[in-house]
Amino acid sequence: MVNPVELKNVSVRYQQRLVLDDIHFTVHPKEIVTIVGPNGSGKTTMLKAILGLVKSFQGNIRVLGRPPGARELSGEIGYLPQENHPDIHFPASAYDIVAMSMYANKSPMTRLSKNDRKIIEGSLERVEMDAFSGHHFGSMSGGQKQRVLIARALALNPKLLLLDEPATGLDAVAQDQFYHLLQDLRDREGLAILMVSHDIGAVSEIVDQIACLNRRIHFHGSPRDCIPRDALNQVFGKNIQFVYHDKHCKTCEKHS
Amino acid sequence: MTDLLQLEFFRNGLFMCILLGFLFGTLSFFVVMQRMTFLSAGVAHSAFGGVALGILIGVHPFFTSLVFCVAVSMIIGRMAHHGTATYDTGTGIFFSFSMALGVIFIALKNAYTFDLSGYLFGNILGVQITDLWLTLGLSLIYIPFMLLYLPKILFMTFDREVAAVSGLSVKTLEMTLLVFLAAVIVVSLKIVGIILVSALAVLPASFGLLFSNQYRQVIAISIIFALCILLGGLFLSYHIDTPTGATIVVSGTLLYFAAVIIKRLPSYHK
Repeated sequence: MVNPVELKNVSVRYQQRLVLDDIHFTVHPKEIVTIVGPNGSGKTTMLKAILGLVKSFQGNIRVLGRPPGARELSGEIGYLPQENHPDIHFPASAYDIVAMSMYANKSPMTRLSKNDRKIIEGSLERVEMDAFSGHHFGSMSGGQKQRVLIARALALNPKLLLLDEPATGLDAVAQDQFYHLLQDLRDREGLAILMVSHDIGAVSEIVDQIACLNRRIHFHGSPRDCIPRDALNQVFGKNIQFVYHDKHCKTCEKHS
Repeated sequence: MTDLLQLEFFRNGLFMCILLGFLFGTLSFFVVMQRMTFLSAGVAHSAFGGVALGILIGVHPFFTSLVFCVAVSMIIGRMAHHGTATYDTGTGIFFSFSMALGVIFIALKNAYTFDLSGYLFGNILGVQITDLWLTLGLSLIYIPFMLLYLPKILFMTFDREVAAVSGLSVKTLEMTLLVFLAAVIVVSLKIVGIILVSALAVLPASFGLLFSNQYRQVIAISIIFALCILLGGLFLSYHIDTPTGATIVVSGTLLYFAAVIIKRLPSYHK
């Protein structure tokens, strides 16, 4: 089975600045992988390079066995960008938002079929938002919006989900519910999920692999392994403190 | 009413207003939702350079202003896509540049007898049958395009990046919309004029958004509003003997604020 994401020796420059340096990184099938790092560490650039939105890079990137941005990948990737609520006044219901994605690859002459409508309703059901189908998207809570946008991504029946800071703006309860939804999608639907986060504590509970990025990848492994203190220092800097609080803290005492 | 329809200029103006109602009613939605209101004002003002060039070289100003507006909107669009300048910055640059070029072109033409104020503020007497045919031709291309591509344009308007990742040709679609925006602005210059036309690109959808949060309804209300202010303004201007373009814009603005006030009344929400 082909790996959903493979990066070998990838570097990206913006003007003269090296944003990503010699990245080797893999997402295996049915895995949730998170890239953590501080602001400006290159997380979003890495995600955009995988999506084919960053055209100029060195090295080799394969997404579902194809080069990034390949036409065949349309519909194979579900994407949730950062700050993905462009306008709260946008006059559309949850159903309309999910339906949008269905039109992307259709001929302009084609309208939604009965089957398409079933898929839209099914996608909303998968994220437990079917009861809100006709509700105005802009009036929903942050957590509900995230679910609708995930439903939009799922409607294309993708093999890979790419999420950029999906928990931003969600309260602790909504975050927990959202991460459980991701676990469900991995376990029940077999999706590979790659997400970007700056919060190492919140995501480490649910992910299979964690990659600590700050221009280079300083650690790539299971969050159940102990993340070396050195790697964390290189990623987040030395002036950080770990506050141990319940289940979210995963850094090992022995390394600190 | 029948007396009015006997007048050729009024008949032309009436049909022009009906066509423009549909054109601006739909286009306004995308201008407002994509926050391109300043862009629409900039493209309209760039028509001045085109009109002046037409006067200078002796070509019908419709064609030169169309070329000017389409070129300016495409350059601004490309600058935004390439990250050279945002829509806002690009518009700011070309807004003044085109107006300045227009002033130079007019100065180079030593003696002219052209009604420039008609282009600046609109003049219903200037609407000729050829303008009507041109607007009808544009409508026959634009309306089917909108009907076919509405869901895709909607996706692009809501979430440009995800639309691109999902396989939509976002750049092509956006450029096509910009070309239509430029063309619709140019055909409407005779009625409302360069200075006032951007109101028609903003008011209809803004009015629609006051009353609905479903895009189909917003577009429908937007078309009805555009038709009402264009036709209402046309009749009103005839009866009270005021410039048509200005009357359309003033009545549209007043109607919009009346709606804002009505919506704020406690009795509206009961």
